[in-house]
Amino acid sequence: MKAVLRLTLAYFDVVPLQRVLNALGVLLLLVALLVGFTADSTREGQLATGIAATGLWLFMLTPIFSAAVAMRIASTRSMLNLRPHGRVRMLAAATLLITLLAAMVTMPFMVGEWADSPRATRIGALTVFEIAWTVLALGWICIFALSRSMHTLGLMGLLPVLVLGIGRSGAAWIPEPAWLLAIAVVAWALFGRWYLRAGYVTRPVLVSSPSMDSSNNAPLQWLLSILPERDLPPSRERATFLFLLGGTPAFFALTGAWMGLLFLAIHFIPAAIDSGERRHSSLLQMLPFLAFFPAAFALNIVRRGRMLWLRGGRDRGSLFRVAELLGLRSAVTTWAIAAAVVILVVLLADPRSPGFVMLYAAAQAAVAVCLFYAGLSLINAWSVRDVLLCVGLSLAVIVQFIALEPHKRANVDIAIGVLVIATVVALVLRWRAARAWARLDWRVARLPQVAVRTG
Amino acid sequence: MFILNPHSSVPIYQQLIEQVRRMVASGQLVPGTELPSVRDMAHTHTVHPMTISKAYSLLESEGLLERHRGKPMRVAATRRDQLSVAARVRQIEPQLDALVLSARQLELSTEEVLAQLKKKLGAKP
Amino acid sequence: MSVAAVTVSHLSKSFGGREVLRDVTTEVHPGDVVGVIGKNGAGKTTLLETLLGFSPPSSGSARIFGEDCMQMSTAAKARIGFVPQQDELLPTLTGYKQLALNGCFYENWDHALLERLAREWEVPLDRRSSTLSGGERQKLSTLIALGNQPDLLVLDEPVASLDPLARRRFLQQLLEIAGDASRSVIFSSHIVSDLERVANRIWIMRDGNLLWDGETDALKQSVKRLHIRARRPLPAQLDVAGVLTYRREAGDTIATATVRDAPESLPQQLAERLDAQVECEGLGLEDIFLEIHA
Repeated sequence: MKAVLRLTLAYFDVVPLQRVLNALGVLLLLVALLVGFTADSTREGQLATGIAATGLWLFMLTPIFSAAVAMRIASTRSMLNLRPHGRVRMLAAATLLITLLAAMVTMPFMVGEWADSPRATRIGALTVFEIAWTVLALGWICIFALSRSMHTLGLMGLLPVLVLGIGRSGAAWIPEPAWLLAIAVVAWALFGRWYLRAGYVTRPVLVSSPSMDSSNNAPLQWLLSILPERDLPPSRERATFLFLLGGTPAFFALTGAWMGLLFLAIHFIPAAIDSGERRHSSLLQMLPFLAFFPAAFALNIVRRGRMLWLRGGRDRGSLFRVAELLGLRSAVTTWAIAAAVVILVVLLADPRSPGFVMLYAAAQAAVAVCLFYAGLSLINAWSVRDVLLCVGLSLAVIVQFIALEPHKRANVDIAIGVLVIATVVALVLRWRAARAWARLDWRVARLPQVAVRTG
Repeated sequence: MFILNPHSSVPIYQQLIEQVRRMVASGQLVPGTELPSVRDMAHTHTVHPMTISKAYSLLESEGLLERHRGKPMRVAATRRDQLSVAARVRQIEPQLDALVLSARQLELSTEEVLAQLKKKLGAKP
Repeated sequence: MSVAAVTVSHLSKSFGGREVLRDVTTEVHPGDVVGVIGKNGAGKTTLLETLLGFSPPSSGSARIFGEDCMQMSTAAKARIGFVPQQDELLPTLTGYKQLALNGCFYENWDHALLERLAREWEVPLDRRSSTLSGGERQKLSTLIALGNQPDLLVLDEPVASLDPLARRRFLQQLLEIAGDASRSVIFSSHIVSDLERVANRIWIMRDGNLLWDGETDALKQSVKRLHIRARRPLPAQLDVAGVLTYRREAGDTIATATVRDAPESLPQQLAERLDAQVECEGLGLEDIFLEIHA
């Protein structure tokens, strides 16, 4: 029993980054509690719930996406062979984890019921638990299956879209959420039976090379891998680009288009019943979250820089300039294309105030550049200062996301303010990043090694 | 031609030196025989060329090998009876060491050992 | 005395209070093949990556071709080849493309040599890197490092995933380089028997210290194992300089000791002092390594 518990908890600590996320999650939960206790309006109550939900989301983010894959890795013959009852324990831990995560999702609603928040009481905590358990269990099975090969892995990006889509539109069909739970339990039982009996679990396709990009790019890697490669003669510029950024210019353009389409899909597929104006402004409100991509991208660049240290023959200062130039160009390309898709749809649907939309987009672009330089300055493996920077910036993004509501067209001043402040902060962070690169230590700033190096 | 064991406690160059000495002393290596080049030896035995050239240099300074410009090392043209007594005695050094060790372990006196040794050396082969 | 290819001077490195390298001083001269051995965590990779400038030293310095490791010129870097422990292959590219891309950075890239070696070593160049096995990836990484005909080749555990045949071929290629007296190799490996063949100098790392820095031959001649058989019980400690290990058995009248830098007369002296018989045995590199860590 203890082993099962230990396994379950291990899922919250698969990647070192999770410790930071967990800490952030706790922080946000505490903030939410504080706000909740001192709340004297339903709006503040909703805010508390929102913050709590974000905090929980941070906890659950990694386990939801990587737990199934981790389970597959841990189930391969080489790892489980010597452990008695290994598979039983793994299955028990997985079941426990899913239940735990479902409970975590339910908690804000329980709190909301307790605080008499109207939205929460409308849905009911039990229903949420049933739905959550169903989604998590079925999702787990899908991810476990998909992580088998490189090609199926690419489909992973569609999963959340499908879930939301089927969920929202299928909600009308199912009479009782309890039925969903029943289906999920049966599916899980069948999965468990297969799992305990399967002679051989294939190792997931996760390359051990440090230059493998995160699984977020997996669908595109797959797409690009089936496209015929243009036979351009290799040049120093192309080589620098590939080593430092991990993809071709076409790749970044494609990523932008993909993200834009994903946003559209998330927005349109669910038959949301919102008023017309709010509906399209909520599409616009996805732009702030686009800012996290340049940050993650810059983080990767810092670590990939080591590949050009000897090859490229540059010193650290020159490497920083190249990283900044190529990185910013690619990040902006991706951001701009994704934003363009979103803005186009918004303007087509509601062409009333294009000026404000553009201003809003400009402000978010500045925020994105800001986060890019922040990422570029994170040269340590999460020192205290770095964590504070991350937390601070994340909160700033969330705050400006809430404050700058696009459906209130009168928020021009706030938008300009965000634009100016973000620009200034970006310049400061650029200076910080330039200084940081002078003493960049690539034994500290390492890319995560996903698969074990076995023969 | 030579047996070199990189994993032995005896350094490789020393193994080579001793083998060459023994083969010259026993007549297996006739004066004028060309030895494999440093590069070939290093490649065949997969050892560092410097260790081979160290051995060759030491053997050259001992007079056993001679160097000809542009050609591989050759066994020097010394006649066997010209080999100094010292050099030949050195050949049986390992056996003598072993004998002394055994004698000490069995707690035999010097006189007892010498007496037996004289008997052996005097006996007809 | 030729100009040193690598000069390390009182190099120390700590990560957040933990000392990984302590005051390392050594040199590598052209023509040397240096074998670096040590347990996991002894600091081998940190040493190699620090002296190449990937990691700023906490104190001390390292110079490559006379230039400080953190400020190496492009010309100096172009003379270095490095095979890191985690390979840097781009997953979607084929071997050919990897070689071509790497070749863009160097002027004297020898593609013909690499194609020949790829054939000899059985490295498939027409498949994407993500489909190669661990051993093939290592071989490809090594090929990439050889392409610019480096004057200094640094390899961090380059043969860990290779079978004995592949390792032998790799060593033979290394010796081709070693035959060129102007080029040097630094090569860290667990497989001590490989180093015994190919390295003319050995660095032994233990807990961040450079325990031994000298010729392989000298190391073998320096470390000896003594078998002591006495009539009276032997002392608990052996009062000799350079003792690495000392173990008594069978009622304290038999003991085995390993001694470093033992003078020729030591067995005789000990025999007289302890009233015992002392046999002296030489050790191979693997045994020496084990005794140092006993």
